[in-house]
Formats: sequence, structure tokens, C-alpha cells
Amino acid sequence: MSKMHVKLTVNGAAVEGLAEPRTLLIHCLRENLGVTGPHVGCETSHCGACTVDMDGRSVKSCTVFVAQAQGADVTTVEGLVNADGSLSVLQEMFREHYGLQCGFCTSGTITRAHRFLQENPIPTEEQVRFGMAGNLCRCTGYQNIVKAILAAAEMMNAQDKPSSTEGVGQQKVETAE
Amino acid sequence: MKLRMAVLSHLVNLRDIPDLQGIEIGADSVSLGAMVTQHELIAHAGLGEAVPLLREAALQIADSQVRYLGTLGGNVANGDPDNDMPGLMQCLDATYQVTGPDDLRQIQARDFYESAYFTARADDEILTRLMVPIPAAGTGYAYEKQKRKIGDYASAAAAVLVGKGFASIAMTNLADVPVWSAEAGVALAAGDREGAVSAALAAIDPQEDMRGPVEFKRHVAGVVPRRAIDRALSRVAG
Amino acid sequence: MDNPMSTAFARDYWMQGKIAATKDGQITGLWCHTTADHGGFDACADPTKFPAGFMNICTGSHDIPTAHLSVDGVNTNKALGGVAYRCSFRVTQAAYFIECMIEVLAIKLNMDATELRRINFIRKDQFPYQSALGWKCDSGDYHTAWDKALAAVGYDDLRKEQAQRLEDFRAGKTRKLMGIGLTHFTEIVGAGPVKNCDILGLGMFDSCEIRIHPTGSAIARLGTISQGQGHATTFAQIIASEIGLPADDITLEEGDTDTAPYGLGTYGSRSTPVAGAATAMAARKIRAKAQMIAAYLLKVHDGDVEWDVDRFVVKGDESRFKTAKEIAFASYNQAIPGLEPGLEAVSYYDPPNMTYPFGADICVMEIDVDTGEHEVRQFYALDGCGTRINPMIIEGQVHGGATEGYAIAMGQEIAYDDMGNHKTATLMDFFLPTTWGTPTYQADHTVTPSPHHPIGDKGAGESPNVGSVPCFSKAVHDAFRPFGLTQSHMPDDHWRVWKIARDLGLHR
Repeated sequence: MSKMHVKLTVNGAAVEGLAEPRTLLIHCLRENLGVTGPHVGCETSHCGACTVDMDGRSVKSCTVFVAQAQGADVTTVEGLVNADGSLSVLQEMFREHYGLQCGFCTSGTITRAHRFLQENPIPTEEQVRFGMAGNLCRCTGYQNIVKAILAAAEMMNAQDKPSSTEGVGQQKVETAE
Repeated sequence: MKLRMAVLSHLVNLRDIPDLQGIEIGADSVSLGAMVTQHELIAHAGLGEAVPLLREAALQIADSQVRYLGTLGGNVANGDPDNDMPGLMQCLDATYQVTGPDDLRQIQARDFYESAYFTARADDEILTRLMVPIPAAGTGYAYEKQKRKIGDYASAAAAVLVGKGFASIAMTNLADVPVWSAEAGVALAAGDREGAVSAALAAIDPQEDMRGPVEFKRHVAGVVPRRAIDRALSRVAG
Repeated sequence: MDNPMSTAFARDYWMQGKIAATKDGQITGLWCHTTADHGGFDACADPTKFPAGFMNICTGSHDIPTAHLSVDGVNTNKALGGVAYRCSFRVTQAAYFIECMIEVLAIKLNMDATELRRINFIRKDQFPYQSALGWKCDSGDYHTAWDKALAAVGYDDLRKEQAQRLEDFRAGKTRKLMGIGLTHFTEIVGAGPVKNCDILGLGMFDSCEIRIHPTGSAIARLGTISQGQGHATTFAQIIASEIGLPADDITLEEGDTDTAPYGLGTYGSRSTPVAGAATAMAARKIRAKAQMIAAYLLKVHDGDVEWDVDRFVVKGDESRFKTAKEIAFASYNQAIPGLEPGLEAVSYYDPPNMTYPFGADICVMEIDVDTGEHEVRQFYALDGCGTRINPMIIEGQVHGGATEGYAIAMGQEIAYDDMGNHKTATLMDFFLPTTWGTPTYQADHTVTPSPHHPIGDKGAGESPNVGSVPCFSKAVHDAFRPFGLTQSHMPDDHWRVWKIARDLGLHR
């Protein structure tokens, strides 16, 4: 099968090129575009190390063909930093609360947490644990990851107090169990 | 394709077909596009009111990232006995609409599954929509799933609807097809919980896997629907 | 998928034991025989003289006068085995063994296990303690740690609640049992003294080289390599404490074999006990030279200055001092009679002994008798790693190590079918816990410094794994104890716990 012409936006930059249909988004990002924040962990959609944000959804980029990302707006951990290159509040909280150890899962975990906090800006600990269950970590036991996300939520809500209450609960996904 | 086990000559992204999208709430039923994702099922407020069982089950499938992309159509059409939605659709008495080169036809979810990965869909047809009857107001519902962790398939799962003079019970991952038992529904509608469970268990044929041996599965296949029934009964209103 | 199928597994030990005690609970002897599956070939990093690692720490925290241990290593058609994985040297197995033996002894003697331990713990005044299997345990205060742990969880109330639960279960009011797991473990890490520890003939010393720049910043290179244990923070703190330069100005460099001093690497909680000691020793060499420079600059004898946090001060005159930063510049700037310019040092540290961290873990678990499901309601982890350099890092190690322990105890296995096919090749079937269901840990500590380590540190990475694996298992055992269970075969996943309940006749 011939290569496909693919156009998408990665961390705000328009990119295009030819890709084999079976090329996975994670491989396109890492090998063609040099965006190595998302990691290849299990390649079976279990670990979440490859998590990126695609059109406002958290997805595991090891299970997305790049052809599926046609026209999509993709954000990786590289795209989460502030405009001046400093760490975002969420990233800073992971640092502050020791929310990472070896760092392999971290880029996927933070990218998922970024989306999670938009789905649910004022989460409980239980909601964080449910919403982050697609990102495996072998080092931290999750305790400080959960702590970092809760701390980030608190700081982000304090920063934009006037608008914060409007979006709350709209996309809230509570736990089923 | 990902595993290089298939080389295909054409690649069509079904997500680009508008007819496969959308959640429409009608008077008696809801119409769901085959490409509706688990996330959309969960987030749709109207659907959550009309068929809350769908939302409850979708929340127990995989994890947030997978639910953002995983589709209802993929879950039911694949014919994988591990999947949660086929049993759920049988419980809800859903109808699948499949479309072929010339025509479209309707297949009852309860008639769709033949054996593992074999379904009533022909090779030149695709699943396009699912029609789910809206349960009567006050119907009790529950989806109960035992699993080892988030991201796992069920060791045993049960979907239950129960209302006035009506009940439906289906189970997941306990045979090579989902298990819906008409007798179980009749028994539960008549208020016979144990009769319902016995009838449902008569239809299962579990296989040993890493979740446990057959004997274990047979046992939890009795426990899980009892819990689902109790929870569903506690939700019966009016 | 290829990784779990073809790469090494850590531990597959089949342990049998006997324990002897007087009627009042004084342990008199211990016997252990282990069959160790090392797969297709041995991939372990055990010291040459210890092919079964430090399994011989299996007397644990107890004063046991006589003990015998034998291990048969076997090769099978599995992937290579025995590899180092958080507790590289078989200490988790040793702890699991003794913890289960103590449990069984308490049952046989019909004694409260907490009291049985108090009777048999090595007393504080017995350290350094020579164990029956040959180790000289450096320091410990087990009774204090034990009492602190029991008080922290409200142990007596938990037992009362459990008794009530049992009554309710028997009366048909609940189908959930409550289990309380207790462990007190003694570790052996910090390998190790060159006289008895080597890997392929290379002594298990470790190393650190520190260079202070004229600006007062520094670079330290070590023979270890951080895999997320926070070396850059911990070792910078050691140097900052010893030399008085800000930790933020100290760069750590590890893992570059072109520049690093020779070392044996990071595993088995040896980085801080060995390379951390080398770091302190190298820093002290620098401080000794800095003292001479300071004395010269202050125009006094070397012995007339004393160290105060970040400076040398003339004794009796606090206004006359030279800061570490000033000394750093001077070392490159001024010709000092009898001294080479520059300020750097290297230390190759051969530890005089292993270190012996210890701790106590308590787990409270709810078990569903009908489905075999469990919920860890509480997990308390007391860590006694000696001097605590960075509490946040230590607690991070506790959370992570205990979560690995949770996985090992409650579901993780590499399974094969009768044809030798690998059955657990994905992260769905190989149990790796997610955020959901992983316990929230209460980390606590006591401080009992190692007497032979330059700063008293004992190492922290392995301990939470060593103590938690038996603790989770014992919570399961404890829940079923009133019905006659003594032991189970881990992992206690749903169906195995369900099987325990079935075999005890608890299903209707």
C-alpha cells in the first residue's frame, strides 16, 4: 500500500509528510518528528507512557495510526510548558511533591493529568485515582503523583478564581466502583 | 495491521463518516452511531438519564484514554467474548443495524453472536447503528463486573434490568458468546432471585485463564449476578 | 510483550522450614531448606561467595541461637532467572520465610504474635549482634519500633473490630473478613566489604570523586547510577553538609564510564551505604585540606580553627572565619606553602560491614469471601534506615517499594502452561497495580544510625519491599486464621483467595 499524506499539528506547529498507513502516532512523533517526550512502554495500550492529547482527548499514541491523527491537534508533554519555557503549574507540582522517580511514565502521566484536570478541575482523591488509572508507574506507588495532581488543581483554581466554578462538573466523570 | 499481521490495500477512517456518529434520544429508543466512543456514552447527559445502565457499564471498561477512542461499535461487532458491551446490549434488547453494498438490515443483539469472533454480520457488511429501547421509568439497573484491576476484562460480569413485571439478565466472559437467559429474566420478573441466577448459570460455559479455573468462574458467575440483581432492585422506583 | 517472555525474572523460591521453641515462646532453633529456580541460566548479580544471595539473613529480627539453611539451585526451561530486582540478594525471600515461621509458631503455641516477637527480638543492648548464620548486625532498636507501629495503628482496637467482624460473619451479617498483617523485618544491604563480597572478582566497594571549582560550585562523580532514587539530591545533600556549599551548586554525574570513578553500580540498596559513604569520605578529605587553607589564610595553626556549618572559624573568635566558598577560590588563587593548588578528592570506600536496616509494616485488609477480592484499607510502614538524609526521597522509596510488594503478594506471577508457553506476557495478565486499588501508605520511621557508616545511613530502597510482601500475605492469612488457615501459596489473587475460602468450607 502506498504512503499516505498526513497533516497534523504537533505542539502548535503544523507538520506534514508521507507515512505508511500502519505507522503509529507514537513512532511518527518520536522517529519522524523527534518529539521524544511520549515514551514507548508496552505497545498494548496498558501502560500509558505514550499518552498524548489529541483534539482535547487523552489517547495512547501506541494504539493510534498516524493516519487517524489526520488534521488533529496533538499536544505532548513538550507542549505543556508555559510560553516562556518554564514549567507549568502541573509540572512544577510533580517536581515539588516528588511525583516521579525514574521518569519513564512521567511524560504520559503528566499529559494525562493535564487533560484530567480540564475534565474535572476540582477532583477528589478518589476521582484522581480513577481518572489516572490508565497510566502505570512502577516507582512511586502513585501516592505522590496523586498528591501532585491535587496540589496542582488547588493552585490552578486559586489562580483563576472567577471562571473556575463555571466549568466544574460539566464533564465530570465520577467513579463507577 | 499494527502487529503486521494484516496488509490492507485500502484504509478508511470510519471516524470521518458522519452517519456512524451521534447519539439520538427518541421517545422509545436511543439511536447510537457505531463510532460513538465509550467516553461519549459516559459524558452524554441525556443518555445517562434515558439508559443509565449504559453509562454505568462504560465506566467499567478499560481506562480514560482507551474510553476516549474505544467505540461502542467496535466493542459489540468484534464478537470478542471478553467485551462488556455485547452482553449489555443483549440485556437491553438492542437492535444492530448493519449496512452492506446493497441494503441495510436489522439484527437483534440477542441473535448476533454465533461463537467467539463469529457473528451474524456478513463480510461485506459493517455495523452502522445501534438502537437501544429506553427502559420504562423507574426500571432498576446495574452492571456488576469483577476484574483484577482497571484495564482488565471481567472474571465475571452481569447486566441486570428489573421493573414492574419485567426483568432481563445477561452475563459477560462466561462463554464464547454473551449469555442472555430468557428464563432468568422471567424468574426475576416473578420475584424469584435464586431461580433467575440458576437459570443464568445453566447457560454458561466458562474457560480457565489467568483469572482462574473453571470452578472459580462458575462460583463468581453466581455471586456477581446476585449482587447486580440486588443493586438493580434497590434502584427500582415508582 | 517480548520483555516478560524472554527477559529475566527475579525470584522463584520454594521454601520449607522448621522452628523450635520452648513452651513459653523462646525460639531455640530454625531450619530452612530452599529450592531456588534460576531458569535457563543464572542471571543473578549475587556476590560470588553467596550464590543464594543473603538468604542467610533468614533469622530476621530474632535472637535465634541455632540455625541451618540449605539452598538447592535448579535450572529449568524458563527464561533466565535470579536477576536483581528490588531486593537483589534474596532478602525478601528470607523475610517472607521467617515472618511466616513466626506466624506458624504463634499459632502452635497459641500465643499473641506481637508478644512472641517481643520475647525473641534482638535487644538493643545486644548490638552488634552475631547471628547464627554468620552476620554481625550493626544496630537496631526493634522493641521501640514495634511498639511505635502498634500504637500508631491502634492495634488493640483493630483486633476488637476484627473480632466483631468475625462474629458478624458467623452470624451471616457480612461476607467480608478483616485481616491484619504484621511484619518486623531485618534487612541486610550495603554490599559490601571486599573481604567477602565480589562480583566476578571485583570487590564491591564504591566510589566518589569531588571537584570544587574556584567559584564554589562543585561536581561529584560516582560509581553508582540513579534509576530514579534521587541520587542528585541525596548525594548533593551529603556534600553540602560536609563541605558547606549549597546543594544547588553541586552537580552530580553518574553513569559515564569515561569519567566516573570505578564502582559496582546501583542495586540492593547499596548506593547510599557504599557510594554515599565514599561521598562523605571524599568530602572529608576536601574539608581537611580546606582546614589547612583556612588556617593559612587566617594566620593561625590548623588546630586553631573549627568547622561551623559552612566555614572555618578561629576558635574563640567568631568574627574571624573563612567560608567554604572563599576557601574554594583561595585554593586556586593563592600559593599556599606545602599544599598543591586545587580542591578535589576521590574516595574508594570499602565498607567494614554490611548495613542492617529494619522496619515494621502493618496492613489492614478487607477480603470478600465469595469473590476473593480484597481491599487494603490501611498500610503503615515504619522504616528504620538509620540517618535520614532526605525524608521525601525515603518516603517515595517506601511508597514505591511497598507497591511492588503489593503486586508480588497479591497477584504478580510469571505463569507457564504445561507446554511451556508463557501465559502472562501482557500488563493485563502480569499484575501491575494501577492508581485504583493501590494502597495509600502511612510512612513512619525510627532513627538508629549505623555505627560504622560515616554518616550512619543504612539504605532505604529495598526495605519497603522486604517487609511489605509478607505483610500483605499475612493479612490474608490472618483473615482466615479463625477457620484454620496457617499458610497460603502466594500470590493471593482473586481465585487463590477464593480457593482458600472454599477449602475452608466458607462458601454457601
